[in-house]
Order: sequence, then C-alpha cells, then structure tokens
Amino acid sequence: MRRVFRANLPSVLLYMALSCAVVVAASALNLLRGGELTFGFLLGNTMGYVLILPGILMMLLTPNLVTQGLSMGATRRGIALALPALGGFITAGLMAVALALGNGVCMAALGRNMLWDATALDKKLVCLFLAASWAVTALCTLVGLAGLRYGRVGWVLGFVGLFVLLTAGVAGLILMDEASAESAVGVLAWPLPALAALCLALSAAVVGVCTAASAALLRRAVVK
Amino acid sequence: MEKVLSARGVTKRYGKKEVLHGVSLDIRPGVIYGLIGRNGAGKTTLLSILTAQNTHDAGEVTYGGERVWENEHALADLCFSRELSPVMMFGENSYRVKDYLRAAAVYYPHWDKAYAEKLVARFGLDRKKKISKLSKGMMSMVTIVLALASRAPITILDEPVAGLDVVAREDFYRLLLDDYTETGRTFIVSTHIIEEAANVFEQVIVMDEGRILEVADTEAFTSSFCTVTGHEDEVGRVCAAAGEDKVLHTERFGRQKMAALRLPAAEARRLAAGADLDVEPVNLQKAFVYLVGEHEREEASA
Repeated sequence: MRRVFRANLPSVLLYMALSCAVVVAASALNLLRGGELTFGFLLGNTMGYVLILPGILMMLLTPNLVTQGLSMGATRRGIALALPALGGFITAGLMAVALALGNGVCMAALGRNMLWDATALDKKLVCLFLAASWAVTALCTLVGLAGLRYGRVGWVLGFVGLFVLLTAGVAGLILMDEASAESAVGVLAWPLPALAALCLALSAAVVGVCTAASAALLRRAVVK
Repeated sequence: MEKVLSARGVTKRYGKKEVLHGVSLDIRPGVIYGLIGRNGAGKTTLLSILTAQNTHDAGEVTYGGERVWENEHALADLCFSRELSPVMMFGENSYRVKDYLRAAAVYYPHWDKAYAEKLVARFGLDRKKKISKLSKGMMSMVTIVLALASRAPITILDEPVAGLDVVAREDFYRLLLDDYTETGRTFIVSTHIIEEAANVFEQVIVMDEGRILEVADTEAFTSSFCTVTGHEDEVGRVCAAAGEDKVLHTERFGRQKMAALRLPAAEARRLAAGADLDVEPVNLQKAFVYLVGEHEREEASA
C-alpha cells in the first residue's frame, strides 16, 4: 500500500496543483461576476469544488494507477488499500489549500484572518464537507475501477450508478417532509455534534463499502 | 535456497477461447531463457500469469514453493518489463521517462538507481520526454532500462528489441550478458527475432497455440535438427531409415529434395553413408520453424 501511495504521489500532487488553479480561477471569476467578497461566499464556493474535484481526479487517476501498479509488482490488496488513502489525501489536501486560498483572499481584501475566527469558520462544517468529499471520491474511484475492469460498459454503468445514487440523495432531500428536510439541511448549516457524528459515520461506511467493492473488482483486474 | 518459479497446469481462457492449455514450466535460477513462439502462441499471457499480472482459470504458479498470487515477497523478486504503449485510457501516455523511472524505483525493491542512470545515458534517452513522443525503439530502451535496473532475481523482458536497430540490439544483448555475468540472475526473454538471440539463450522454451512444445538446452535443441539435401530417391531412403516421425518438412527442386529431420546431423550422416547427400545442421530459427510447422501439421491431421 505504501509503495502504491508513494509511487503515485508526484502525479497526485501535480493534479492537485491543477485543481487548485481551477478553484482559484473559478472563485475569481465568480467574485468578478458577483462582486461579493465574504468568507462565507468563498468557503461555499471553494468547498463546492472540493466536493467534486477529488472524485474526478481519482476517477481519472485510478485506471493508470492500477495498471502501473500491477505491471510493477504491486499486489491487488495493496492497491485496494492505497486507493482510499490517496482519495483521502487529495480531499484533505485540496480542502486545506482551498481554505488557505480563501483565507488569503480575505486577508488581502478585508484584512481578516478568518481561519482562526471562530465565528466565521465552523470546524464541524469543514469536517462534514471533508467526510462527504471523501465518500464521493471513493464512489468515483469505484467508477474508474469499473471502467478499467469492464471497459466502456464499466464506465457507462459506473456513471449511471453514481448518477442514480446522487440523484436519489437529492431526491430524498426534496421528497422529505418539511421538518426532516430542515433538520437535514441544518446538519450542514449548523451541524449538531450527534448529527455530524452520524454523517461522518455514514461517510466512513460509504468509503468502507467502496474499498471492499474496489478490492473485489481488483481481484479480477489484469494487465494483458 | 535458490528459488524456482513454477507453473503447474496453468489454463487461461478469454471468454470461450482457451489460450493456455494446462501449461507446466519450471524457471530455474541463474539461467537465460528464450521464450519463442508465433504471434498468438500465448507467450505474453503466460508471462503475465507467471508474474500475477493476469489471472488464470486453473493451475498454480509458485515461487520457491509459495503461491505468487498476492504474495508481496514473491512479487518483489519478479520483474516483468512489458512493451510500453503510447496511449493510455484517456488519450496519449503523458508519463515522462523520468516518471517511469521514479515509479520503478519505488516499486522494485532491488532497484539500482546508479545503473538506471548509466543506462539512460548510454541509450541517450531524454528523461523529460513523454512516452507518447518516443519512437518504438526508444520505448523498447525504456523497458530495457527498467528490466536491467530492477535487479530482480527473475527478470522478464517481452519483445525487448522490438523497434531497435541492429546496433542497439547488439548493445542490448551485450548488456544482458554483462549483467548476467555480474549478477547471475534469471532472465526470460520473449522475442520474435530468434537467430540474433540464439547465442544468448541458454535454454529455449518453444510455445505454440497455448502449449509448451519444448524446454531444452539451446545447443542440444538446435543440434537435434538437420537438413538432408540431394537426389530425391536418396533423400527418401534416408527419411525412410530415420522413420516417418522424424521428418518434419520436405521441399522439392526438380529431382532434388530437401528434408528437415528431427535427428542430429551426425546420426543423419551415418544413415546417409555412401550416398551423395549434403547433411547440414540448422540454426535455432529454422529448428523452430520446422518444429512449429510439424506441430501445426499434426494438429491439422488430427
């Protein structure tokens, strides 16, 4: 697992740098369009990207990572364990960079260091975003593996599966009765410790299931 | 204890098509093996199964008595340097030469960085160049650097000389022999350019249609074939004396006939005593062609 992680770290860092550039460019564009500059705006904006970018990165990286690992003597078990570790690293890294960038902009524009301002940054919220992003990344990794294992059919089924899952989540939120929906959204807006812990547990479960599914797919992965 | 890489009854199917039929093989330490076979014979499939890069449907692959599959210790001793592809899943192979070398340095526990650098300089490889921008020969050079610098006790090269010019091929064989002399490790070289490599191979593994036809000492293998040329009646007499099963191939040129026999030249000369016949030994490439041709003829008649 460590070898797979180490071998892929340079590519991961490169892609992370490119992602950061995307986050900065998109944030700047939004700022110019909206003309707004608050930390909440920056946080929401960057976190939105952080929620999806690691998943896209892992989806793109996974097939090449697996092929290279297998052809250079890595075990399938090692690769299966390295995938969520790399996903977590990308998620946490991008989150940290996005926050630092947002904070840097606020520092420059407003003269406030909001990372250390308890009223501006809820650490539980950051944890929830981190967990949600890691879960999405794990799902996307699984799509990449399905693509590697089953070719076009794998990609299509993977994307369909991901779409169905995410749509079901959003639809579930929409179809909930008002009180439940409010409390669900409230978890993100004002996370209560118990609900936040529940969400973290749910994300951990998603990552666990995805890792098990990845291991199952990798068992039959080959380099012909 | 010196470890043997063994395959026992390995069978592989792609869909309904069986491409390896119960292959058994022992790769002994300190030997340079040449794996020869026609396109589609199953060479790359066998090599990728030996190194757990591919799955198999039946049989077992072991290294030093332990299963190779998912065995970190066994895989650490094996290096299968495959042909590089200029394309990857999402377009061109954008890895650079240095990226491959860096990854190899992490994955191969016996990696010799200084030797890799020396080889890169010797081949004149541009470390910053993308794989997709390399010529076929340059890609082969990268796989050679990976294989040799891996210092893996069992190193496998799949078509290492594909695309290399004759000077580079000679250089590769010299490097291979130097490395072998220095380290005494095992090499398996799969190639279609047989005759050039014949002097390098100590043992030859002949594959055809998913089966191993023969594993033999290269010299003993080639010297067990010969051709007899002369008047058709006299050649026919020698063929009859040798036995039908020893005749692999015949060709006619008017009243002249050439027969390829699975018989040492000395033995054929003894049978041809007194007749005006030319009995010649054959090279590895010809021996392979006659053997595989005979095998296919048997298959067709069966």
